[in-house]
Amino acid sequence: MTVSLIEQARIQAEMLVPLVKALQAELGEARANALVRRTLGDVFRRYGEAFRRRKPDADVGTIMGSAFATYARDAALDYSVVEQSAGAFAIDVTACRYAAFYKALGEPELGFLLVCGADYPVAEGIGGDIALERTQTIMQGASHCDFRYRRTNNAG
Amino acid sequence: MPTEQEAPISHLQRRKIEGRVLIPFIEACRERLGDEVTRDLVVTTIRRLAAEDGERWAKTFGPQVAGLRKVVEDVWASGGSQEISVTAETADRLEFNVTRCRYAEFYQELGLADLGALIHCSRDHAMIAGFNDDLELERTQTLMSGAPHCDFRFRRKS
Repeated sequence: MTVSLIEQARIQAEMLVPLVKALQAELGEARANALVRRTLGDVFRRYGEAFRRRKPDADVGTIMGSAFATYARDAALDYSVVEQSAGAFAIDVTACRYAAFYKALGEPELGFLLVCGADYPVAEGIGGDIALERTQTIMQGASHCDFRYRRTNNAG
Repeated sequence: MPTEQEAPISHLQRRKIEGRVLIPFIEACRERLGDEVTRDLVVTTIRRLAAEDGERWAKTFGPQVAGLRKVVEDVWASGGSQEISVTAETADRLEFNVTRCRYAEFYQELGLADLGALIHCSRDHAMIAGFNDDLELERTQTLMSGAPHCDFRFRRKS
């Protein structure tokens, strides 16, 4: 795929943002968001599964490192790695063009739903008992996003 | 096309990228809200965006028939996305048939031609209104809906 993920996200937002807003007007925000989360959750879980198929044996540090290299293409993210090992991948994202894009649209809440919301189902799809913990994001106004991926059970 | 890019993205590629999230989204809406409500929701939104495309293309290519032909050939059909045969072009009309359409093939391969008509074909009438409101489109059939060709007839309103 030659089109970077940030560019794909921009293309998708063009239709998705007005449609999700129309859906929120129809169903109310909570029910609309739940529907969006469930629907896109399936899409993103399949992305995660496809990612795993390309790297069936990679450990947490390797596979998530490679995922973030993909997310960051086209200068989309600046991040510093706190820990990268067989059982963990911990980074702080200090600049995010996905967030800049949604903030420029005046829609950071939709950005959180449509972009940041993808990270959990992607991790589920990647599988291998990877769990994500994240307490804050730039999209929600924090100074950085604290991604902490760890292997939960200790099969390995 | 809106943003700065590392490499130009064809219109077809954009529509495919968009389809990846749009198709499941619309299918879920249908399941939840029914066909009719979903249709209204989607068509209203798509028409507004298509009218904006039309305005932007009019600025880029000029709001006349010659500019419209450039939209058709350089945007819609770029990179071999469509095969087009123009049957008439004057200052007041542009008539052509689309004999092959990879946008339609994309949706048909997914078994989703009805969604393709909604997401893709339903743009064109709104696009022309944004492009030049003195022009109108008459089209009686499309490849997406199973016809052997799409019959685009753009004319100056009488």
